[in-house]
Amino acid sequence: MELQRKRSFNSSTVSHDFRKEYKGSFLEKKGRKEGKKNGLKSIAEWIMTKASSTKKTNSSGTSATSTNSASHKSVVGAKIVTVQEKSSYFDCVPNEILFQILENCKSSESSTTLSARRVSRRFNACMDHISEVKVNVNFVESESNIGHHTCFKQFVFQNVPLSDELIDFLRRLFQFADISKLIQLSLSQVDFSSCNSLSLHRFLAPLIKSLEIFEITQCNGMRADSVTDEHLAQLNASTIRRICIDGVKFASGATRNLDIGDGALRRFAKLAAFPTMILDRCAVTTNTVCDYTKEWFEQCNESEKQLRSQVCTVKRCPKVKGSQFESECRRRGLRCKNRRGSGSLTLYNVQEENTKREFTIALAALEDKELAEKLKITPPDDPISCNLLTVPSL
Amino acid sequence: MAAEAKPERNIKISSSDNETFTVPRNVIRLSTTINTLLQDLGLDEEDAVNTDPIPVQNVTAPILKKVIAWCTYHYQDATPTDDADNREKRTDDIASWDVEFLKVDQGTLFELILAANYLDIKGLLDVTCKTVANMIKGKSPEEIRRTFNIKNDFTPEEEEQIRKENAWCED
Amino acid sequence: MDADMPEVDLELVWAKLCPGLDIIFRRENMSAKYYMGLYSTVYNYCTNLTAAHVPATAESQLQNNFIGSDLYSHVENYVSAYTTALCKRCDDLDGEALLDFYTKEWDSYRFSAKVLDGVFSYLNRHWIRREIDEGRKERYMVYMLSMVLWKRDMFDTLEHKIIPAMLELIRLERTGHTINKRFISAVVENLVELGMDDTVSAKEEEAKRLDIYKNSFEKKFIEATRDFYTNEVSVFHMENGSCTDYLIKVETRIQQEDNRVTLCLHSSTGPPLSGCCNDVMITKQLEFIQAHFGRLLMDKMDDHLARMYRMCLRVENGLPALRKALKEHVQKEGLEALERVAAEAFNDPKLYMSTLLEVHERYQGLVDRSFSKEPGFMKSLDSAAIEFVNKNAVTLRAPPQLQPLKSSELLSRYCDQLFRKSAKMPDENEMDDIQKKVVSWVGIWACLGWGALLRMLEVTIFKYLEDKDVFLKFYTKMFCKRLIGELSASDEAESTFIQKLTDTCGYEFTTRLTKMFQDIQVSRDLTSAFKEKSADDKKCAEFQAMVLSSGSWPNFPTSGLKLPQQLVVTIENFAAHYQTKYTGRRLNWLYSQCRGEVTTTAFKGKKYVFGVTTPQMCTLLLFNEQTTFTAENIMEATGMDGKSTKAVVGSLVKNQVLKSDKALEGDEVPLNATITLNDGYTNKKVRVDLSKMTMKAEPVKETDNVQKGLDEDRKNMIAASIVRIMKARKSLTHTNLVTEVISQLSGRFKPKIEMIKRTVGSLIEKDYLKRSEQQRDLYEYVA
Repeated sequence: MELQRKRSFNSSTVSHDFRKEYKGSFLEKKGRKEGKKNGLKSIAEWIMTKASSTKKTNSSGTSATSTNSASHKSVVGAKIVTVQEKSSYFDCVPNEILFQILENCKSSESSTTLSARRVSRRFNACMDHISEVKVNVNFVESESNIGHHTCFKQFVFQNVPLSDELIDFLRRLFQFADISKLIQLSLSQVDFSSCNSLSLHRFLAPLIKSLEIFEITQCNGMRADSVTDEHLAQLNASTIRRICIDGVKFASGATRNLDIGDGALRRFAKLAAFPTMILDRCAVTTNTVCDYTKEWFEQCNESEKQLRSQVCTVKRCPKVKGSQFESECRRRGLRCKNRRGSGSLTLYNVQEENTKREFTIALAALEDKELAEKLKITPPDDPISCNLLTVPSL
Repeated sequence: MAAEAKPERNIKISSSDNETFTVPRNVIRLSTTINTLLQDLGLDEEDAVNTDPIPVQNVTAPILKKVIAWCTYHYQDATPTDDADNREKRTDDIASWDVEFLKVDQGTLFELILAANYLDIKGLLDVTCKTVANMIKGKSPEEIRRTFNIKNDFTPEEEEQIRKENAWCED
Repeated sequence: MDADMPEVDLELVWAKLCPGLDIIFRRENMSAKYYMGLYSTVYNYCTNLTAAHVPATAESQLQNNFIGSDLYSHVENYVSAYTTALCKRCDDLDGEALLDFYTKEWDSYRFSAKVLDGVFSYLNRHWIRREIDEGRKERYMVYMLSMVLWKRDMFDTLEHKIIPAMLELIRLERTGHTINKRFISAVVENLVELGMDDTVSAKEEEAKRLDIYKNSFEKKFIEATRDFYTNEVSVFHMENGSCTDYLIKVETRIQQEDNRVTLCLHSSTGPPLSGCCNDVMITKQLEFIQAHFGRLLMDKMDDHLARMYRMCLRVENGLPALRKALKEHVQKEGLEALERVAAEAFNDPKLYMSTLLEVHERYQGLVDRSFSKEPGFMKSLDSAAIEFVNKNAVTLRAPPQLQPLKSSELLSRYCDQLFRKSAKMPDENEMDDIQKKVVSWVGIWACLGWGALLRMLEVTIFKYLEDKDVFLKFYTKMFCKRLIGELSASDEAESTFIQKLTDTCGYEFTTRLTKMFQDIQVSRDLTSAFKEKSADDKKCAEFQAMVLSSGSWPNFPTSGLKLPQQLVVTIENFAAHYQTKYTGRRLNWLYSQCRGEVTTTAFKGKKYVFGVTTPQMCTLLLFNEQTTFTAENIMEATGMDGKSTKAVVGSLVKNQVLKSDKALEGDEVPLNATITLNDGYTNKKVRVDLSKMTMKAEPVKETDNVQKGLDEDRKNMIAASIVRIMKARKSLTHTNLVTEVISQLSGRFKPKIEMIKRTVGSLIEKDYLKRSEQQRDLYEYVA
């Protein structure tokens, strides 16, 4: 006896088509195995399980397999179970309101943003609408008014994940744009996790000819090789006047510093270039910093330009210690005087012998916890556990 | 709107289910919609005769009552400047009175949102949206859907795509 | 979702809204209920379509935008149709009728637009806001949209008729007709409002806001103004109007234009408008105006002068020519005034002074009232005054070397007159009348009060007198005499005056005077102490001593004198008394300055009390013993020197108390003359002052003396000044040094460059300065 399958699924109230899903599912196989006489039962079972599992819906495609063996009895009365879904209040709310609600969600934790996106298409679309991925581009009309040749002077990338695709895209763009006058490249809150060391090389390659300001601030997902000496070596020493690598956040807790070390400083010193430097979590050592300072002093005598305020700030670099710095300074004939500083900084006055020139060094502590972890010792008694050097000029 | 020489004028408004409420002029000014109406129709004059209540046809009486209660509490607040919009949004600065006030069921909460939107009461809209935002924050997508009974209309592929695209957000 | 569903919805919605819009634009009354109905319709339409009945796919987003824009277009079309229709109705209108219609419709429209804005506020709030934020041009909030449409459909089309109509009205008003100002002010408001654009930032908005107003109206308005007034001015000239009439006309016009701005136009038009008026009516006519200045001054037409000043004040460079003219005029007036009285004023300080003051007062008043005390004019007045105060017809009458001194002399004499008790210099024979004279000079001025007096003095003397040190010299001498002779009218006046001198010229200037004054005070105290002490001593005569510290006072000739017995005792007692108070000081008696009283009944038995100088006293007392002496005898007896004796006796002879058998040589008696008492002496008065005679001869001699001391003093002061300056500066060029010296000494006198040069030379010789080796005209200080 052939069972007449009733068209009992009213697709206008239930938008989920169980029939489609049943085809090819294991229950069908199960039904086949057990023979047709249990067809209805198996369908009924299947319906019940499906109905109960939709309530706790999730992203995985597989259906829940909780069997509810007792339930099929109640089903065999050809009772039609239609699954109505309760509508959400969000359905009554116009998009404008949704924007406002989601605006409030997106501020602090990015996990909320992601979760919100995954809720439904509407949520996702709204999040798209309100989220910002800023690529600030300042450009200047080229002097030659031939066509509309845009000449870029500054690139500020903010809140962008730096990926190879993006870099490719940008490189293509650069081919058609005039970046010969590019002065500033700033990457702020950029995510480095989806690119590697080479990516940054490729990114920098076309940009560095006349670059004066190079900043990587508050970026996350960084690795030790995200920014290295080689990258800095790419920069044009004669034009670069400010290098700022600050607020570094590593992707992995194991990484301690970027591979920016003595090489970079030495190179600059050799080329008689003394850009303002802010180096956070780098691998520079006390010695090199001292050498750099000394070179700078010497260069100072020669050229007037050095009299502008030069700051070399070295932050949270595990290989630089203030006490060592003092002794190194002394060795090189630079006198170092202790002086009370501001906030967490201790200031030292360094004076070159035989001159009246003085400058100030600021020292600040590495977070004790980190230090302890790294060195596996208790924080030293000396409160001035100096690891920060700021060398401003006169 | 400090010490005014003239006596408090009262405005009558009625809900969609024809319940009338009398609200002082000062209080109802929080609703930009009503405010504009009064000005545009010349009902703000001293001698205006305003016998018929203003119908607020999209809001039911219980919600309207709550709205009026909120306005009555808040009508003396300083008006926030435009600058507030540009500052970063915080959701942890809801006044405790408001928190209590908004401890209601979801239905009412959303009704309040709609009413605030309709009547253009910025403060109420802000605080209700923040409240909802707080209900969203920190939850997984499944939890959010459950809380608000939202249907997941993504295909599995789509959802995976989204997750991938925004993976860098995850710690 | 079907694609044509929105269409249907919109039509339904629009069908509901349209009648409402009609009501709004017909300015009919609307109930709150109806209004809310419209508002809700818009609201529901906007929200229903974005709420999640439609899953938010990309297409539906697009549809949203599409729908919002449909509604927006409907509104736009509606309003546009309205404005176009309105514009059509203006086809036949022109001039005032057009303005009338335009302004009325504008008022009404504005109101309707606002209501419309309210009804569609939900659309404004969300959809339109988003469009604008995303930079979509041509999207405006509903109210702005209405404005834009008005501009496009009404104003732009009618501009060519409206602006001329407005300008015509203004022209009519200028030619004296009354117009309805509301027409103009309403259109101005309209233009300003049309310029508002809330899509740009606040700063930009400020700048741009008035663009339409300025471009469409203001420019043409200013042009029309310019034409109008240029025309008016040339008509005026053709009719040969007078300058004063012209000024009045200009002032009136300017006032009118200011009013026009306040009442009808936008305040920002004020500056360009007055600039235009100033330019056309004043700057271009400056020559014409200023040519009359001199005439007005002469005619003393203060009001017109004030008006001219006000007009010229408005333009750049309006005033320098006037200032110059004023200076020349005042100078001329001053010189002429003095010329007229030159002969008399030569010896009459009062007349001199009053002439000066008169001229000065007149022009000071003019500057104060008509020229509002404008500093430039004050300066002109001052420089003119300096000219005629120091060098005028009166001074030119003096012998050449004394000319620079003349003014100072006269002024100090004037002061002297003021401060004396009975100020008029008595003639020889008028002594009797002096007391009868009711009105003394001091009396007149005393009515004004010393304050006013001093102010006047201050003005002329201190400000304008160049050689203040000359004045000081004269004044010191006269002051001294007044003090000794107890002739001061008021001690208070004297000290106030000294104070004023100190304030103006510095402490150094007046130390002597102050000291002199103090000495007299001290003397008074001394004398009263002495009197108390010797109250019982009958031998002491009625006596008052003035002790003068020798440094401060001018030098007096001392001469010997044999005092009569009555006096000797007193003197010795006093001397003793003094020594007890001030040991170590020496008293030097100046008998020639002393005075006393002699009572006599020698003449026909009538009792006379003679006021005499002590020498005179001694002389007269001699006659107690005999009635005849030769002058030589008298000389021996009194112990005076020859000259003094001759003078003293001469004076007594002139007073007719004594007789001489030989004629007087001048005022003096030859030594071999025989002197007898004049028995026939009579005088109506009982008290007769015989001492005055001796004082008279001095003024002329004084001037000579002053001159001599002056050059010496000046040289010293210049030297001191140079040394001071060089010490501070270490090195200075010649020209700079000269300038500095002149400015440092300006409070005292005006040093001549020649004199400075010579002094520098002498200082170099004395090794105070040296010439620099590198630079020829550089001097260096030698420490």
